[in-house]
Amino acid sequence: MKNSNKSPQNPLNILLADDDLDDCFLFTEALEELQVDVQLKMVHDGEQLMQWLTDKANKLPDILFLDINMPRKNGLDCLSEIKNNELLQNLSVVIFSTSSDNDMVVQVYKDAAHYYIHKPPKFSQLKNIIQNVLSLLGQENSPLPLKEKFILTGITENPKLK
Amino acid sequence: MKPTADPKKSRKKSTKSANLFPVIGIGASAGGLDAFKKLIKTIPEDSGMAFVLVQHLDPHHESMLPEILQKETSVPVVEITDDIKVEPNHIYVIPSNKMMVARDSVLLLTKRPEKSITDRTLPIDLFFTSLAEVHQSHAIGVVLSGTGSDGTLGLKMIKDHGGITIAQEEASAAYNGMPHSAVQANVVDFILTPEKIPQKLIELCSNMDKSDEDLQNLLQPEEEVFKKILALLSIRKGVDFTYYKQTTVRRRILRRMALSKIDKLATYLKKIRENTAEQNILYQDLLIPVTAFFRDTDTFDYLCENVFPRIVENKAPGETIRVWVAGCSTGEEAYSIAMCFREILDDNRRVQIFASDLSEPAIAKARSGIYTKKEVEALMPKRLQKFFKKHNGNYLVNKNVRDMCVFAIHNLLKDPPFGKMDFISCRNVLIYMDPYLQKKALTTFHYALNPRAILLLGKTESITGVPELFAVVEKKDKLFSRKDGPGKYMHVASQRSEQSLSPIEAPTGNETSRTDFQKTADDIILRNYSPAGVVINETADIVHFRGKTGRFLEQSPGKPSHNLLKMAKSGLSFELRSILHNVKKQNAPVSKENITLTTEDGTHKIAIEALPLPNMIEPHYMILFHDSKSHSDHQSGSRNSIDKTAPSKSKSNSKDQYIQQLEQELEQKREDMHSIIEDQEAANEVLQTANEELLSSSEELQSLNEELETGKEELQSTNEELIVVNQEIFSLNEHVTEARDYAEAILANIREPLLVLDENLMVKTANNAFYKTFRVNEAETEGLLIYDIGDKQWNIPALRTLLEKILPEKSKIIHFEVTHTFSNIGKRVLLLNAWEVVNKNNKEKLILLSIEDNTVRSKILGKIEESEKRFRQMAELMPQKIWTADAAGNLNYLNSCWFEYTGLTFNQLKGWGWEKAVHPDDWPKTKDVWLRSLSTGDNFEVEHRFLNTAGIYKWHLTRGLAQKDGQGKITMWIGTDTEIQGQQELKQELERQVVDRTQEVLEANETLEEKIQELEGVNSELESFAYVSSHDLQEPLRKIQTFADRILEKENKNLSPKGKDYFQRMQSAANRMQVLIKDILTFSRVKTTEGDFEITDLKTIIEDVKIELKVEIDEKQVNIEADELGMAKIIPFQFRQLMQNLISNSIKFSKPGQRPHIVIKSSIVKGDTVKNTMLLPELNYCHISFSDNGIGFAPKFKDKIFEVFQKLHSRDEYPGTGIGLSIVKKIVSYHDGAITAKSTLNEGATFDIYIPED
Repeated sequence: MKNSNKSPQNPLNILLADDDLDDCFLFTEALEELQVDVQLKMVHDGEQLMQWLTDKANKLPDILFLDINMPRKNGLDCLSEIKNNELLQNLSVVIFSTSSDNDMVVQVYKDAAHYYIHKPPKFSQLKNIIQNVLSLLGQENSPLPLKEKFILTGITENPKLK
Repeated sequence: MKPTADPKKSRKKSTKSANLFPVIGIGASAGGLDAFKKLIKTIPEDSGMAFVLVQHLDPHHESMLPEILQKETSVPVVEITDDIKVEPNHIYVIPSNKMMVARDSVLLLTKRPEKSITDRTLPIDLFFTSLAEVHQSHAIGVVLSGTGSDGTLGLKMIKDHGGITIAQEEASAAYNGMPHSAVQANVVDFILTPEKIPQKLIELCSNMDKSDEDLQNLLQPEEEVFKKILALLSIRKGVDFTYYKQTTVRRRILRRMALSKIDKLATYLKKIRENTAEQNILYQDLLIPVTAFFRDTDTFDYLCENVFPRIVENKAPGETIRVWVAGCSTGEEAYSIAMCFREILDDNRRVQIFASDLSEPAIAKARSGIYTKKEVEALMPKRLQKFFKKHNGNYLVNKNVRDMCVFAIHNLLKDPPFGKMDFISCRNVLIYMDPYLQKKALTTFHYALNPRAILLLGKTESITGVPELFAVVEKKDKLFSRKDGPGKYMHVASQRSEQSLSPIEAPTGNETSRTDFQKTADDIILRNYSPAGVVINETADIVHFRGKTGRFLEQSPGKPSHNLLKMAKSGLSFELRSILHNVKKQNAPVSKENITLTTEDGTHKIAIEALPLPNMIEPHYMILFHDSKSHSDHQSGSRNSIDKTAPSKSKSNSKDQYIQQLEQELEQKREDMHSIIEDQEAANEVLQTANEELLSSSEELQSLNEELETGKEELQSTNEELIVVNQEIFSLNEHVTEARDYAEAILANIREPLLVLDENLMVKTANNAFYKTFRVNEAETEGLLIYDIGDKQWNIPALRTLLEKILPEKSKIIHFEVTHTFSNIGKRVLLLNAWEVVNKNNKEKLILLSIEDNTVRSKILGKIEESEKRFRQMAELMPQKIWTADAAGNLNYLNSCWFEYTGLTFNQLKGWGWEKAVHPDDWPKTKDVWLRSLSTGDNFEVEHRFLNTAGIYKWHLTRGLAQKDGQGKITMWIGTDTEIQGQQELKQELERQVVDRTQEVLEANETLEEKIQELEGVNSELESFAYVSSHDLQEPLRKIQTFADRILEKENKNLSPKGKDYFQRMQSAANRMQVLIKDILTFSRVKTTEGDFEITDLKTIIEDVKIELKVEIDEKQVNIEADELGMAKIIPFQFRQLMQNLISNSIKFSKPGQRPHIVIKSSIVKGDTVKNTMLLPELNYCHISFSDNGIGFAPKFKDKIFEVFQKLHSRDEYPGTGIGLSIVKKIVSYHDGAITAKSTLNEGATFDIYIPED
């Protein structure tokens, strides 16, 4: 229960939406190595994601990690749908993408995602980033970050958003 | 005033209006505007009434009244035009020069007649009268300030028709003449200040809106109350209105209620019972004057044929014939009689007709002598023409008839009568009187008439009460002649009113029930056993003898008399006088006994008893003579007994003698007194007669005085009108003066010389321009004959003709040209305008002669003509077609070429006729262009075909040029037509070829375009392929990296050193591939990024890049010199990439062991100064030069280095993908610029970049 003020009875609920099973695997492994108390749920395409989120039986996650390139409904559409849905719009969304295209980053920033993670080539970086996100979003109602803090790389200082 | 005998009569007026809203006529004169302003200020907008203002105005004065009044109120003020419909909530104003009458809710204007001395215009009366007739009880008349008496008659008419009348309070009026007159005439219901009038009107109107139907069908209780009111009037006034038209009577009662602010009939009944004044008012309201001209024609015929001629015959030539019309009402009867006399008399016989009536308004109307058309209808046209003249649509009695009549307000029962009349007419007056009053009236007439003079009564009237006074002359026509009877007129000096007399009780008739014998018996007893006596009246005239009075009375010698005192036997007269005196004084029986009466058969003692007769209107007394013979016997007997029994007879004898002596003395005295009394009585009688005559003449004088008063009023009102007119004349005079000043200023100011001549052609005035132009002065000009001006220079024959021959015929001459040589100023061409002005009033003739010096102009005109002639000649000589047109585009000149070519004449071609020669296909275009040029003034140029004589159309180029004046206005067009048939053919061929070629080129272009599009498609596919593939390539590569990383980290201990090495090599290859992919991505994105160009400081770009590359720069201690940099229009994001690539390139290829040194500069150059085919020579470019001190490259590679994946070195020497410079080049070309590189191996390299300045 490092870096989290959540009580043991209430582990953080994390939802990962990514079609890439390798990335899912690496994400799970990173969480395990970080030894944090989390409940991880994974969906593998956009439609699946929206279904799960809109199903009243499911408890909404504390953090949603959202890939952009997904089959059936891409991450951008999912994000806009979430932010336009009254019940979901307070959900903390962290974009988790291979792409480093600047236009894309600007787009999701406007669409009120919390952070943007550029999938790193190194596992240690991935671990850093996830820990970073969990500690940043562990609190309830985390404010949206400024532009400069939007992209998380896990290396050193965050690159500037151009 | 007589109550109407014919109920229809009162309603037989002009058509009634259906309007149910009140129409208020307001009459005003001097000072009225102020009052009217005050009045209308308080009129509410929704009063529901129409107001019509009638004012005395000058007929020629332009009235501003509507505008002035509109300022005071928001109620619309409208000047009346003909047939204007009266609507509620409007104020109407009469135009100044009009009279107005109302006709069935329409106001009609009649021209106001020109004023004359005898003819007074009374517009207010006129309007009110017609208003009354049309709007009946809805009419309301208001009289405001003004002098004179206009309006009074009108108000009376309104009142007579059941309307309501109001006058301005005299104190608040600037001139109180009109309100005063109205109030005096007793025709005003309310007297108010102007401000309070509208409020009162609204109050009144709310009570008055009952229709005739409502009035006829009243509820039972109301019906009863009406009857009670009429019964009351019948009792109090002696006139029973029960059989009068009920709606009229009831409307009038309702009107009185409205005026008294009573809304319940019962309340009104109560009021009228208690209030005599109200009874009188209602009674007056109910009386409607009825009379007519020549009423009962037969009677008048008889009068004219028999009665009047006889009256005239009996009169001495110089004597005035006197006639009295008693109860003349509105004067028709009096005027009728006057007309009759006029017809049978010559002008110098004087006839005086006194006409009297109780009603002041009636007399006022009679005095005015104005009758409506309706009223004179009964007159024979001959009489109408002879005795009347038209007056504002009405008829006015002629002066010669009017002057015969004197109208006076007079109560024939109360006031002293006129005397010495030859004829009295009193028709339909007596019928409203009870017998007593009738008798009194007839007695009055008897007094007034000369012996045997004639009295005319109404059809149903007679003289039955006084047969002793009049004899019947003609029973059918009710003519009676005066008898010389005992009738004696008694003037009642006290103000005893006949109305106050209690009605005589008719003798109750149980007399008839008596049996005859009883009456006979009574009579016998009365005759034989009652004392003798007489009944006398107040003047002691015996009116009745009873019993044997012969012993007491006898006729004395001389004139026969019935007077008791004269008839009394000697000795009784004195006693009777004293008894009469006592009985009159005490009004109770008086008796006196022991009166000695000496008769032939001895002395008697008698007793006289006098009793006033009860229940008599005029006091009468009964005188009874009691013969006290027995008494006397007894006395004498007693005396005898005394004589017999007297003890001392001598003593008593001497006493008796003394008494006798005294008695004789007394007798003597009595006789003396008697004769004195008789003398005195005779004198009294003379005085009485004189007094009566004085009273009569005083009455006459009073009547005359009233007439004069009326005359004075008329004069006053005429005077007032004159004052108004005078004021207007004054203001008109000001206008005239102003106009004259204005005219004089114009005269002095105009540049043309101007002369004013009188009809003898003498100069009256001349203006400055004249003196200046012809160099003469005032002294040489004014007052001289025009021909004599300045040494007779103006004696010009043409001018003489103009002034003496032409002008008298035409009175107006314009543009008469005269050429004359003046000695001082030389030859002049003069343009003369002459006007004859005739003064309408004094026929004075003036001639206005304006002279324009046209010398210069005619010279110029000559020149113009000459040059035009030259132009024409030239034009005729030209082989081209030439034309001119006016500003509107009408051709007015064509040269002969036209006629030769077209075979048409000038008349056929002129104007727009040339259309005939133009090819029909070309005409619309020609017309369009021509019209456009005409409107814009642009040059006219069109190619079209003209038909020649051979019937062939040939192409022509037509050109037209607008000639403009100083203001740019087109004055005319000059144009040419050139045949261009040959040119046209060539041109057409050329055009055809050009079109063909163009077509070919176009087709080729299209093919090319298609190819380009294909290429572009392929290109973009390629680009997106590059983008997508490199993007997707990253994905597996990253996995390889990550998992390799995981293995090296987690499975490190399980790997052999060799295995580790392999993994590291794999990792390194993957990293290189990552860089490669990144570069390819950047390269492919250059085009796809839509960046905006911005003017950017290149220094900031370099600064940004320095930060980006901080690690490398610091590591290799790179020195970047970038001071000489300026601004450039670039896409900053791309340019940052460009600089980053170049700088990292320089760092990468720096010489080992040497600090890299980079110099970046920029400057503006022109395209043609740079030897580069890529650049446009005329454009300015921003030249950025970038040089380093690195290893450089062999010159032969200067182009190759920009190609993709071109590397000059192995990966081991210098790592890199070979894309960096390709990106640079791509960015430059995206900026429409060019880049070149030059270098020698190991000598550093220089890159020159050219970007367009704008």
